[in-house]
Amino acid sequence: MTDASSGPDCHGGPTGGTVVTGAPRTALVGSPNAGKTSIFNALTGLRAKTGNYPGVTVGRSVGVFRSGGQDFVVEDLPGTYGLEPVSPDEQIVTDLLQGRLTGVESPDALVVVIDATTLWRSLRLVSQVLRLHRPVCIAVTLTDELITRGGRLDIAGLERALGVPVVRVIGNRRIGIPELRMKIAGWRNWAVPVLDPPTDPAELEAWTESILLASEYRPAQPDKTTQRIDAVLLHPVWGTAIFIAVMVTFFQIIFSFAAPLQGLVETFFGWLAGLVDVFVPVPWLAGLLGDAIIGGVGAVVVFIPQIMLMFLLISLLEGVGYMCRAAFLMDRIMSRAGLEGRAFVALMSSFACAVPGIMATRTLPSAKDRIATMMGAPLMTCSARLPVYILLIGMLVSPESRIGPLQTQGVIMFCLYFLGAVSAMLAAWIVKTVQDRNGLLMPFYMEMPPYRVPTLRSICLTMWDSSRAFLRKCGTIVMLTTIVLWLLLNFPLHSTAELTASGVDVTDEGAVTSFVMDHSAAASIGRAVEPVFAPLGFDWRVNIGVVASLSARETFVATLGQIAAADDPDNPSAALSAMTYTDGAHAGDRVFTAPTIAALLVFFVYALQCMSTVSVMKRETGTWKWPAIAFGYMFVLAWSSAWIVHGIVALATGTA
Amino acid sequence: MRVSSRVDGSPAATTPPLSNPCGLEALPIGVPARIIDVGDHGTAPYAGRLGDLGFVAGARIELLRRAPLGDPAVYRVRGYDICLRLAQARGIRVTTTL
Repeated sequence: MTDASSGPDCHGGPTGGTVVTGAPRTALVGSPNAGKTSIFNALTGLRAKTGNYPGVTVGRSVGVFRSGGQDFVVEDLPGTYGLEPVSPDEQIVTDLLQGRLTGVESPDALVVVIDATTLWRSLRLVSQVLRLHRPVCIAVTLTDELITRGGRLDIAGLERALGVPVVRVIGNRRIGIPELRMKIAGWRNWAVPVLDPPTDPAELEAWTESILLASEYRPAQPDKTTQRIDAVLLHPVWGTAIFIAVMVTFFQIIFSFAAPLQGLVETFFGWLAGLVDVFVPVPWLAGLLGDAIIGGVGAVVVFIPQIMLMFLLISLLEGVGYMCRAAFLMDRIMSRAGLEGRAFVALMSSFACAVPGIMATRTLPSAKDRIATMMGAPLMTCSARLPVYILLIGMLVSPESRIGPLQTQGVIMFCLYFLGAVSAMLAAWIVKTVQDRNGLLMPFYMEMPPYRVPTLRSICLTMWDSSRAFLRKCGTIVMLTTIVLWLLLNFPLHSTAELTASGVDVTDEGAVTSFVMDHSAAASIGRAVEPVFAPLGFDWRVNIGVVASLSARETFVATLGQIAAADDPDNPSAALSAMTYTDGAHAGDRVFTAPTIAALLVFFVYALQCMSTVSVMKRETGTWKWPAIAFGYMFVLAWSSAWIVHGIVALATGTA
Repeated sequence: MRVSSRVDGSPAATTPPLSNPCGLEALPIGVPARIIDVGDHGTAPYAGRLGDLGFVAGARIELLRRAPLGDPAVYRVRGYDICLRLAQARGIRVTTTL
């Protein structure tokens, strides 16, 4: 270790996580898979700040390292194969390098990260960066793999031929990181090439050949292990079978292995809420603390096991190199929705929860594809819809009912899942088509790197980053919604005298709760939105459930339970089935008729009732525009589909 | 150099000899070829991008495998493996006369 890498520059420090203004800025440029991010992580440790470039869905990572008492800002640019952009993400790189990106400082120095096993191709990018006439340094990665695969490269020769400093770096093993830090610290003294690389294709070929010759480059042989693994994993029969097995396992782990962990989180927050009940004597304060704040935070934290598991699996599959193989196998099917193979994983994850699914769209290289996938993802049947479906299907048909040999309840459940998946693909296709109407169609190409063993460090970093970002950004929004909702359901407050005067037995907690609910602000909202939902057959109490479920779907079950004042709020089916209209033209009629239940089911298929999804969409796209569009289109879709289904079922069953 | 090789199930195997030059999408698996030109694909930046990826006139290229549903396909060019859709491969002209 040299001076540059020891001392206070590894973790923490006064500048941790903040970006120092006035410090020299270095940008890492390189193609995807070149090892840019592992160099960035090794340079800046855990002091990176992630976010978005102003106004676009392109992720931005900025970090700081300290050398010789001075801070140096490092920015990890999105991966690109060339500086002539063909996607919004690459446009960012080009604009930033040319200093045309408003609100973002142009870098002082550039480090081009190139993969030694793809040197021939990488020199094209180097030639384009050199023509920008900024201080340039080259970081060559994967030289170890080049040698094991029988190749050779003389770093000193490459440095002489290019006329700029060249450093050999293996980010994962931290080889060359101290040297690269020192190089960046001395960026003002970097050598500048005398001549620009040529632009004419033939001359550029000759230039490339001469550089390769001067650096005694011998290309790597194709990786034997990768060839053997690919022969199985990409085989038309075995490859497809293994792919399905991998996806089933993936789904199983996210869906079921996370459940006990989520149970633990729930138990913990339940215990916290219990403490509040015991130690806070003021009922309304206990309610606010226990139900709203602890309940709200708990509702978010409960997703953490799923998110961490999903990112563990995704970064494993990605790091090993399987993700692009899976995308290769699925590309044809996804192209039907105008997407590419890599979008499959995001949609698949959304079966568990749209939040990790939307976060998984980061693996898509094109911003348009990311948006299209995000717009479709919330339609995949997530685990939060499950309790609602179970409750409603249970009220709709009896467990004994069969269609042929199949249980009707199971068939309905399958249809709901199927409807969600098909709608998600359709929505993605429409968004993609609308976005492509006046723009270039992004061509599809995908590098298939050899299989590699990822480091534990890189996997843990990905998990940590995603979980931290999720907790911080979504926690605030969800907590705010639950507090507002709690206030609406519990205010205005009523004095004991007022309750007694209205004929409520103040010793009966259930009666008090239902009186408070009946006269709460939420009830007024429930009645106020009656004209909207009346065509779907919802009464004001169902409306409260629907409005409450806008924060999170699973609250529908609990809210209805409270409203029906059932003995067991977790299983209010019996009380609910018997629930009748309290007033209006339908007074005395049953609320939960077959058309109403069917309408509710379809409403839940389509409506975006999840503040976590809305906030993560805002976080990932960097604007409120996309969550607003998603919420709007899904609400319209939900209402109209529910209305149609209500009508059809009413006709079929002869009820009104 | 062999001009054609037996490839199971591939449509190209049933229609030898290969017309030379041909589009990249018609190249049989395992036959070494050389790129003649990458076409313009109607849009300038994309032709440039194919060049950045190593698809330049004169480069050696080989089709490694097609996806189970026929599209896309993996090619080896400039010593690394890259996957292209048929739509992109169509504009690239290759010859097996090296």
